[in-house]
Amino acid sequence: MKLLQATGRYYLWSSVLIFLIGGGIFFFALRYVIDIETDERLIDAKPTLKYQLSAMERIPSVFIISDDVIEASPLPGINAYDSAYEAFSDTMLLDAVEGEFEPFRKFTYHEMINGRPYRISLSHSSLDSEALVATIVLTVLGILALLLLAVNLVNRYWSLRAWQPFYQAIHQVKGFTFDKGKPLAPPPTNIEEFQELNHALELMTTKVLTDYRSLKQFTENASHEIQTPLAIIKSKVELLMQWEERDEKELQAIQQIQQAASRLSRLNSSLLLLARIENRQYTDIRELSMKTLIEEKLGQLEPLISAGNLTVRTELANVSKIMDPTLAEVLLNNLLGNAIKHNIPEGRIEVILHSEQLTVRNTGAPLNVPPGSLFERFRKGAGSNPSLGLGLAIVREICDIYGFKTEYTYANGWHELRISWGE
Amino acid sequence: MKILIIEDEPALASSIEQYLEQEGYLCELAYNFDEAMAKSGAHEYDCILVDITLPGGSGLDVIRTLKKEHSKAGIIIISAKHSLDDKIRGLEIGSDDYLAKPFHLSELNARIKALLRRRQFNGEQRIVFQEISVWVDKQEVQVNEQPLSLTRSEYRLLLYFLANRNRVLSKESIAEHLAGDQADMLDSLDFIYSHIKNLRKKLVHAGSGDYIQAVYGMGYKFSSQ
Repeated sequence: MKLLQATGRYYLWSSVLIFLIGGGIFFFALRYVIDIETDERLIDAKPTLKYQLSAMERIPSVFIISDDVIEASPLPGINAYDSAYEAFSDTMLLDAVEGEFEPFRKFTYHEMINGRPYRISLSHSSLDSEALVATIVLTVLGILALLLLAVNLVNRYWSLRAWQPFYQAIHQVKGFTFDKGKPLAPPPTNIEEFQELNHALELMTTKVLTDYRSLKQFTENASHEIQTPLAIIKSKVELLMQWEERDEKELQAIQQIQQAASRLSRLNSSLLLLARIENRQYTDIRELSMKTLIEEKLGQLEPLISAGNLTVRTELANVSKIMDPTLAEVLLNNLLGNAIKHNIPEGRIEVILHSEQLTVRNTGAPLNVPPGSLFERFRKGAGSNPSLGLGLAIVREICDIYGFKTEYTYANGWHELRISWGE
Repeated sequence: MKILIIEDEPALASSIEQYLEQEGYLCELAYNFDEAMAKSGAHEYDCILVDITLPGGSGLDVIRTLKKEHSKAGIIIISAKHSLDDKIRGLEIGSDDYLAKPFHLSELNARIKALLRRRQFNGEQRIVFQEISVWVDKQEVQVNEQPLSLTRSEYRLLLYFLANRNRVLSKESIAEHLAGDQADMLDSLDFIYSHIKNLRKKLVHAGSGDYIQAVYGMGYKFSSQ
C-alpha cells in the first residue's frame, strides 16, 4: 500500500465519521430550534384560541383552523383541572386531505372556557419544518461531501507532486553503484524533510564510497606488500634447489614450498590486477589494433600451442579499439590462454575478429557447470587442473569497463567465448 | 665481472648476491638511495641492478645520474611495481632491461648474461658448451659443427639452459621464460615437457651428449656431469 493511500484511507474514514456525527448534531440542533419555535407559536396561540372557543356555542371535539388540528374534550371535573398543565409531544395524525398520516407537533393544556374545564390539544403540522430540516441538512451534507472530495483530490494531486523529490531520490538510490564512484546528488527541493533526506543520502553515499575505496586501496596495498616476501621466499627456494646431495624427502619439501609459493604468487598477482582494474587504475587509453595484438599474443603463446599440438585458425579483420594496453593484453592473454589451457590434445582453436565481436572458440571437454557462472571469482569447472578460477572474472571486469558484452556457450564439443564490442 | 645490486630488501639482495657469486660474478650491495649513488659513482661496474623504490629516493634518479656520467654499465631495473609506466620510463631513460618482482634468479642470470654479451662483443657472439655451439647474433645452433634446426621455443630453451648450466631450473622459471610475463596466469606448466622432450631428442639425435637432466619433479638441469 502506498503511503498516500494509507493516509488517504485514514483521512476518508475520519472525515466520514466526523461527517456522520456532525450531521447528526446538526440535524438534532436544527430540530430542537425549530421545535422550540413551533412550541412558542403554539403557546402564543393559546389566548386567541380561548377567545375563539369562548365565542362558539358548541365546542366540537375535533376541528381545524388553518392547518392546525384542535381537539377539545371536557375534563371530568374541576378537580382534574390544572391551569399549569402543559405538555408537548410529537405525533402522527391523519391528514384528511391527503389521506396520509403526517407528523404533527402537539401541545396539550387545560383551559377554562366559559367556566368549564377543558383539555385542549393544539397540533401543528411539522411537515414543513421537517422538510426544511431535511433540505438544510442535506444541502449542508452535500456541500461537506463536495468539500471532502475536493480536499481529497487536491491533496492527492499535490501530494504526488510534493513527493516527487522522494521518488527521484529513491530512483537514484536504486541506480547507485560503486563503479561510478560518485555520491548521490538528488535534485534540489524546497521541502524541508526531503532536503534532510537528500542531505543524509549524500553524506551516507559519500561515506560508503570512501570506505569502499579505502577497502579497495587496502586490498591493493596488501597485495603489493605481499609481493616482497613472496619474492624472498621464491629466491631462497631457488637457492635451496641448487645445493647438491639432498635426499628425496628434502627435495620433495622444497618442491612443495616452491609450488605453494608459485600458487600464492599467481593468486596475488591476479587479485592485485583485479583490484587495480576495479580501482580504475588502467586509464592509459589509446587506439589499439586488435588484429596486431591477437597476432602478437598468439606468437607469445606459441610454445603452449605447439606443446599441445593445437591447430589455430584465425579470421582477423582490421578492428581497432580504444583501450588501455595493459588491459587489452590481459584480456587477450586470458581469452587465448583459456582456449589453450582447457583444450584437448591435438585440439583446435578458432579466433574470429570482426567489427561487431571477437569470438574465441576451442574444442574441449563438456562443461559441468552453468556457463555464465564461469565469470564468477574462484569458479572453475570441476576437475580442471590447478586453475585459480580468476581468469574469466578478470575478463568480465575488463569488459565491464569498456561496455563490452561477454557470453560463454558450449555446444557440440566447442567452447565459445564471445565478446561483443557494443556500439 | 662486477655487479652492483641496488635493492632495499636485504634478504632478496643476499639471494641475488649468492646466486650471482656462484656464477663467478663479483657483487656489491647497496640498500638505499645514498649508498647506491655513492657506490655507482665511485666504481666501475659491468652491470647494475636497480630497484625503483628505494629508501631515500627513486632508482630512476640513480639511472639518470649514471647516464649523465656516461657510465658503461648495463642497467637492469628490478621493480615490484608491476606497472607499464615504470617499465617504459625506465627504458626511456636508458636502462637496458626490466624485470618485475617476483622474478626467478635463473631468469635474472640469463638476462644479465645476455646483456653482458651484447655489450662485450660487437661482432660474433658464440656460446660454446662441449660439442654444442650457439651463434647468438645469427640464432644458429651447431652440434659437432653440423647445423641443428630448432623451433623458436626450443632455441630459447637451449639458450636459457646454457645461461644457467649446472643449475636446477624450476619448471615455473622455464615456463615463464618461454611464454613471457603472463605465463603465470595460465596455471598449467605442462607445455614445457614437450618442448624439453623435443629439444633433448634433437640434441641427442645430432650426436650431442644427453645433458638435460630431470631433477626429481622440481625441474631440469643442464649439465655434463
